[in-house]
Amino acid sequence: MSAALPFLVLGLLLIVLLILSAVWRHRFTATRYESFQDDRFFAIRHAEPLPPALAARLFGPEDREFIAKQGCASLKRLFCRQRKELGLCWLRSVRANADRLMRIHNRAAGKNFGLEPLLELKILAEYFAIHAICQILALAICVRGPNNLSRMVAYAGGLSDQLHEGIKQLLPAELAAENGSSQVYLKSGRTRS
Amino acid sequence: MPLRLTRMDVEAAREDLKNRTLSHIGSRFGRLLCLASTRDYSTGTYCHDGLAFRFSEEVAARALAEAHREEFMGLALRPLEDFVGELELYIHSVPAKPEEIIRVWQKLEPYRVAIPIDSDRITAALFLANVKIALAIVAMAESRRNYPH
Repeated sequence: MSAALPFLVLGLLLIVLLILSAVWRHRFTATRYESFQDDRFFAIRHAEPLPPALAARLFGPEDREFIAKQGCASLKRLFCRQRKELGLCWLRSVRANADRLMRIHNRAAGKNFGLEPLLELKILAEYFAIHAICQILALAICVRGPNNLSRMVAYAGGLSDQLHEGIKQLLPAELAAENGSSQVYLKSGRTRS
Repeated sequence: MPLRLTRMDVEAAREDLKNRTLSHIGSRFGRLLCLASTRDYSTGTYCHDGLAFRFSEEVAARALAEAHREEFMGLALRPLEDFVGELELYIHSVPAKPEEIIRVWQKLEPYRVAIPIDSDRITAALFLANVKIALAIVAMAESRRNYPH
């Protein structure tokens, strides 16, 4: 019995440590975003994906073909200039959204001991992919305007949505529900048409 | 006890607004400008006496804000060809000379007030850009109509 006592104590100690570790992990995950009250608002209000129809309208061929049919050079120039500016503005917005989300995520991750390396890598890869695609798109828009870029734009938009969803998944359940309902409300008002 | 704003009340107010007011306006531009005109320029709050009387001020304001946002998004994200058609329809529905309306719109840009306060920056910019292009196209069409040769 006396020979087994040290092993029993060690076992109990390990069990206590495991329980403490689980409680700590739960506490840190729960408070992961709680200390970022302003950022939470920021995330809801500013990191919201842009309406999908907007990218289709800016980068699709429909409007360009309509303007070409008008047969007016000055109108065509005005249209090209406007759409180039709007296209670059869309890219800036996608990049800014990704940056904001990553800032919030990084600050939250810095206080969290229960990080999942695979999930973190995935988020990082998506973030860098968004930036790389945005750079390529910006170059293409500057050289030849926002023409025939719909597929690449849709890919960038998809990655941006994925990043948004990925980071949202890391929110504690009750905060995610609150965040989700706010988004549904914001979106419903905008896209019901 | 303060009145609670429910989704059902807002939906009912929106239905009422649609049936009594908006359905009598033939063009999307007309509906958009009508909704924008119910907003106070200084405070950004929406007011509609009839709707507030039937529901409440808060419900009416929410219904108007939602209808405004919906009408704006529906118009701003339309194909440019439809957008030009809508502007043309509106210009011809106003009891004034089309060329006069075009001149005033190009100079004063009153259509800027049609943008809802919470619309995203890029959609708002697209709307403004489309109005400028549409005005130029309608002006060309009017000029061809008035001076065929």
